[in-house]
Amino acid sequence: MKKIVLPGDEMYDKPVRANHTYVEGGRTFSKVLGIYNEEKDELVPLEGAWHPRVGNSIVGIVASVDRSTSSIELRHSSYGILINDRMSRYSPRKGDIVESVVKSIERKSVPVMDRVRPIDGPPLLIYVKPAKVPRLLGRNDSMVKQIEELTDTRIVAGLNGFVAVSGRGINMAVASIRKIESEAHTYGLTDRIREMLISMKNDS
Amino acid sequence: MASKINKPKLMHNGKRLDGRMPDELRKIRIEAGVLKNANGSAYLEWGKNRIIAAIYGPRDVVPKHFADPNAAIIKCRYSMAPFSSLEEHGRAGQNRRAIEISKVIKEVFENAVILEEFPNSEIDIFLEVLQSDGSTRAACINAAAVALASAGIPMKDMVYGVSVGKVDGEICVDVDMIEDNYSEADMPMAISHRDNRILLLQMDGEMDSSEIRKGFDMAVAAGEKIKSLQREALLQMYKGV
Repeated sequence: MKKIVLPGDEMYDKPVRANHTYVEGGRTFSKVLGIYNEEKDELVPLEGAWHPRVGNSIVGIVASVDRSTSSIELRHSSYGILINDRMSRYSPRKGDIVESVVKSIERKSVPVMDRVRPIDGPPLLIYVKPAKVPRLLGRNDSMVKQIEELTDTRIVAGLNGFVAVSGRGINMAVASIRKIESEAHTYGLTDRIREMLISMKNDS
Repeated sequence: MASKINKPKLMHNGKRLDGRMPDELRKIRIEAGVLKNANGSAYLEWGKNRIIAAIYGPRDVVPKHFADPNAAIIKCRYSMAPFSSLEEHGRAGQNRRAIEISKVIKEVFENAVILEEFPNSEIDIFLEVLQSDGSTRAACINAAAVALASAGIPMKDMVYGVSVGKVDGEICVDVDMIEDNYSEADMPMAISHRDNRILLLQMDGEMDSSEIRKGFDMAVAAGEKIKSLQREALLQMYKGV
């Protein structure tokens, strides 16, 4: 049984340490708009901004290149830092669309990037709400692999919300990504996306 | 303009000019998630008020020296469209009134949003009044609360806004523009859903303590309807769960 909870809704009548909740007056309340799954006893936010965490894979745009560091735009007016490595095979150029991994977080909120690689293409860069990216990826990347297979594209989805799409069937891939974004909270989405892409292929 | 000399009679047979009872709200409609590019948004119709709220963030603070290394900051911009009112509102950009309302709404949400989760960040609340008919700050608070929740911003509680006024000696809830202009007093409030904490309380005019108490009770009673409409607006975004 799943139900939608709003900020301030009571989750437990006792203090419980659980994600996306807070305790006040000996009771536990939700602090986000989310879905509470009673069977799994977990609260999953339906919306939300991306918080950089060590190990997160991201897609970004190289915003500036200096002597020793480069900055990578990770979302609107938010940047990560890349310490330039002369031994690296890739030297960043302004405007490059890259995939990368968060290596550490400096000063509480500034992500330091590592393992930066350019995405070939040039790809089409679209923005998906960060809370929907895990649904776009699917369990063990099943959803994104399915789209790649059926549309003959390469999709790199960053947890920060940027998604780079390159290949032949970009329009079909983008349509399916937008459908996933709008219906992320519903059941049977993988099957519906497959059906949609197959019918689009047959029509074209 | 409003003055005591040309003040019309605002109550007739216990009913207000628009036919409402003293404890009756105007018709309200709230829709969440109306703007594609915003992180969260809401559109609200409250009587003849038309308001759009948009939330951006949490994002890096600009300019950087405003950043708080321990918590997010909230910026709020209340703005009336130049065509929103019969009066002078909004024709020359932000005026003193708009700056004041932006400030008080910002302070409402500073006490509702869990700011400690986003150090060095800012959360922007944009409120555009497309058409105004009194009690716009209360209406804006309702729209902003829905928009913040729809943006996934962590909050301790939802918030609703409602105004109370003293019209022809009678305490009335949700005063419209004519009542606002000619009333003896008006008192906008913002109240939290769960525990009725008062996050905003302003007053123009004069009311005694028993009238303020009665006004507060009426606001809380009317708030039940606003709460359910806010909840419904957010649930509508996720039909099919």
